Amino acid sequence: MSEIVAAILLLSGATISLIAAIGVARLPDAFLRMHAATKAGVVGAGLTLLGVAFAFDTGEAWFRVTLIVLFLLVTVPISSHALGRAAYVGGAPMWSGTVMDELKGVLPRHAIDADPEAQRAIAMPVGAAGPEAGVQPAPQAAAAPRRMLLALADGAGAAAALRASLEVTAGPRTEVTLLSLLCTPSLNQTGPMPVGGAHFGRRLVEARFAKAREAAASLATQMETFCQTQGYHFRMRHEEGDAGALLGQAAAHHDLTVLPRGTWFDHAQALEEGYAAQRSARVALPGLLLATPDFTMPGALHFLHEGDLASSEALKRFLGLSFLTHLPLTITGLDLDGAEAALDEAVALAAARERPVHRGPALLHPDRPVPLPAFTGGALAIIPARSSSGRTAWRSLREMEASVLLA
Amino acid sequence: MSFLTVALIFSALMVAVAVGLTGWRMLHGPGIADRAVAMDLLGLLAVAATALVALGGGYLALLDIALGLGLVGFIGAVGVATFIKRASEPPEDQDV
Repeated sequence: MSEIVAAILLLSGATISLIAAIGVARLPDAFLRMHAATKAGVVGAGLTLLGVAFAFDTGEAWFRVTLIVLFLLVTVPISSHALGRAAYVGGAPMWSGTVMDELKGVLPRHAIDADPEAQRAIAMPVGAAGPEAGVQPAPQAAAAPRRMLLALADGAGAAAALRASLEVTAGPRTEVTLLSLLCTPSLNQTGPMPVGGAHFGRRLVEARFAKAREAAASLATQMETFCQTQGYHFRMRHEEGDAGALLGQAAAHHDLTVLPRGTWFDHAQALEEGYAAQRSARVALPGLLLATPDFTMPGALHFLHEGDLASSEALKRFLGLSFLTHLPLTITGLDLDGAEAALDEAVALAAARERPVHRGPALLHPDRPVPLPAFTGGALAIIPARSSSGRTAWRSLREMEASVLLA
Repeated sequence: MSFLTVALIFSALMVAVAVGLTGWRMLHGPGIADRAVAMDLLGLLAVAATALVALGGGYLALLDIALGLGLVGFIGAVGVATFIKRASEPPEDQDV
């Protein structure tokens, strides 16, 4: 009798192990594979062990098998939890059919999987960017952002860039917020000090703060008078602290955030050369316009689609914006597996929102820098705020010396 | 051949196929997380396989080895998880 029970347990355990392995081999992303591996794996191994115990049917065997099964029941959840968390934080790509990411904003998500092979399996969106019912195309009358945030970062050409972006995008009913920020961490950097240098370091920092406040005040006054003469509804705010975090909080309440390209809230007072450009190139907020001083009304828009979930979401966010709606939109993808399907879907989505849209002439090479004129042909480049892979093409567009809108 | 022997052979074959599939995933990737998951499952399959060998050969002591394999798999998975987490953190201050 116990032989038959043992045989049945062995067979069912092995079957479940096999199902787990098939799941690991066939499911599309690391998280789904983990779902198959751990749940089915522990039951498979556990049932096999129980079968072995029934077959031996001695006290010794039962003792060991009980020990192993208990051990597996305790450790497998722990290790899979740790692995799942690490995979999420490590930026393992998610299947584009994923509908919910409950850890979004709870855990940071970095990018380690820079391996070009890594993203390939994932570039096959299945219904991720389907047209949503209930989201209506914005009426033409409101072709201006409703709430607009101007980040008053001082630097070369900052005031010109801010004025240009206001003139191009803001409408008569736009509420403009002028946010003057002082980045205290940047200004507090003193670098290495000689013996007895602490006193001078403090003096240096104080002097720098004073200069930065002056610069911020003069820029703020300049923008204030500009807004008054042009008749915008505007509010003024000044804050000091970690500028990146403050900007992120403020931007969450606005449709469009304008940051002059290559400037930062140290108001040109930081020690290192090129610090401002570096910092501002790292801001990743949806709806952020990195404006150059010569920013003008673009004749067209050009969206870079990476064929993954992040890009689909970025496109949806961009289509949800209520301005620049009348401009022809071109969507270009990267030359990856499944890019054609992703592009078709993206174009269909934009067309469903009644946008004049068409596909880019050719796919871009994902790991080669993009020459901006060839990419946009004079159009305003729109790229996803976050790239799941941080590809060379994406990065070169971000760091180009031209206006770029993050979506 | 008793019913149990047939069942044993069939389960051994199935576990072997499972090891093959998981090994393919481990070699193929594509990401480090996928490899780590495959490694985790490979540890569990090794436990099952060792138990089957113990039954087939009648070596009860092999069950102790199964316990050891389970332990190694657990520590390995936690170690790899820590590595992935550390390696992905940016070296300097955080991005905005």
